[in-house]
Amino acid sequence: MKEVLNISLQGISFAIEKDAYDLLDKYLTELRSHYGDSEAEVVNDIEERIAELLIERGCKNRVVQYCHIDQIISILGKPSQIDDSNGQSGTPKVKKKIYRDTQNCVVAGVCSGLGAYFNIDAVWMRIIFILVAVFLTSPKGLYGIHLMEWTGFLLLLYVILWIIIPQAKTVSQRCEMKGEPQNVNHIHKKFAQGARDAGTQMWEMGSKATGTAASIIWKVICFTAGVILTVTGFAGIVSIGAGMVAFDIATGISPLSIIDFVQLDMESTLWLKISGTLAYLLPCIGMLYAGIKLCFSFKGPKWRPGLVIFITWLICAIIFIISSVKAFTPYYDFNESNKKQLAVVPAKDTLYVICPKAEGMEKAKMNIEATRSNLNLHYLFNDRLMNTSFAIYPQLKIRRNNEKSPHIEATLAQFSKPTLYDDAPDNTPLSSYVEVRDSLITIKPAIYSRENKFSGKIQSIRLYVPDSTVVILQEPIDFTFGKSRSYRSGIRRH
Amino acid sequence: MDTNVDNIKSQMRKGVLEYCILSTLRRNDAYASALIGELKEAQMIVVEGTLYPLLTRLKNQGMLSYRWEESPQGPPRKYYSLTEIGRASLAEMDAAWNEVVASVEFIKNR
Repeated sequence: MKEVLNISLQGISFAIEKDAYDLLDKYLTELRSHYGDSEAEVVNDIEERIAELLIERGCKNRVVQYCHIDQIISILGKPSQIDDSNGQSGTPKVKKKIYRDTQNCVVAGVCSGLGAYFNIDAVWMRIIFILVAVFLTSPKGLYGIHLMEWTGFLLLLYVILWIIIPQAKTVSQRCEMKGEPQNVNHIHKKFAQGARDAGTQMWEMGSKATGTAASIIWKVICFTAGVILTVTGFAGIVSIGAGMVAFDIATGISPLSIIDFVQLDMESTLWLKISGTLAYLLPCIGMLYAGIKLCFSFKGPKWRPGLVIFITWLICAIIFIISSVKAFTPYYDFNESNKKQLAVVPAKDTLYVICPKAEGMEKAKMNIEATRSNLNLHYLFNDRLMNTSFAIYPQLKIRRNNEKSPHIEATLAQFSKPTLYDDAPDNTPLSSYVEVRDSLITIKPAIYSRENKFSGKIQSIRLYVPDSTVVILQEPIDFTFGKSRSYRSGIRRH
Repeated sequence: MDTNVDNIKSQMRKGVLEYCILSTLRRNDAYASALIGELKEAQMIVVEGTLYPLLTRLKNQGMLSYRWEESPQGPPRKYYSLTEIGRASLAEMDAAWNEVVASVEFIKNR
């Protein structure tokens, strides 16, 4: 017993047994692939003739069987016998070369080209590529090399292949790529395909794959990748935006402007700020765009935003790197010239420390970090005209030893080129930031503003006292070193 | 040996097949199946399939045209006829054929 199918040959219907159908299908497919679009008529005419012959054999009322088809094929002639009029009995087999197939490409045609060479469908090549990337990045790493390195390596491999494998541009190259004999018929076929957009192509490549398994897997991968990219891109943009806004609200100054307070070897920091922001934002935007495209598989507009974003990002990143390298040049000469200055401290049981705010800045919020034996203070002040100043107090360290008499050792570390600061280190008088009167030690801040920028000077104070001396901080908070629990104020109001 | 001769025979036939098609249509228009019948009778073709690509090519070159005609057995069929260009080409091919035959006979009878 055999399965029967219904077919139509140029509009005439026949019932045909399955094995006969397969034979006929094979025959017609071979013919169809031999004749390109311009000669599609030929196959139609042949189909018509087949119908005629079948009717002659009474198949209007009977099921078409294998023997009928077999007979008819010998009457009509096997495809190899229906030769072209130039009469070559068999065109020579062309040696296969590896090319990139840019008419069927997603990114650069690497997988398509490799697939054509090995006779594997390009979709499977891509799946293999991605799966290899994913599986090699198991938590343990392969041979001790981890996630980022393997993904990076594969990406690099892809780019290398992209560069070294030539593009199949001419028709003869395309024929060599697939191992097909060069033929006038092929020219029409190849040029009819035309270039396609990456997003739709990825989607369509999946659906065209030989075998539904490949296409389903591919579509799932596409969609998942799309979702991940969109979410990441979006999160990146939102987080940096929210972060900057939060910082601004909390401290009263935008994070980007902090650069203005540092003495740099650069007149205008605008380039630095813009290129830096863009270097971060553009990849996020790019990911967002790519993700949405993948998820919803739509064609990108003609000006190819993906490419535009990438090139712009590249330019920004380069500008940013160059400007920051140039701007921070003064700070590379880590010339830590430590100048020490000494001040005497009376030998008392209790010593008091106050850190008053500079004149006119009493309303500023102080940021304090006080531990057993260290004190770090700084604050930010905006005056009525929204000019911002940073006040940084020298770091206070309390060192206990019983041998020497109590004293203060003030150190000035300078880690920038001498050209940046006007006064030589030794000229800065100790009294400008530390004063000792009786048992009261006053510490004053160094104030930086847009006019008076930070230039690499860092002051620190070491207070050497015997074990028995108690050191108490009175201003801005009450704190006893060594006794009170560590205190840290965040960026919050007093 | 035989296959070599067969090859050459087949090559010879292929060379004149288009000429024969045009020639058959000289007096009457015809369906594809009728053409096949005549050419088979003349033992010019062995497999029918060789005809179809040639018919299409001749049509694409403008030497043939066809019209659709109803047939008793089902869908309409193509009814081929020579165009003016076809007739002109045919005349030239007649001359060419005579030349070739003369040349070959000349060599054969030396």
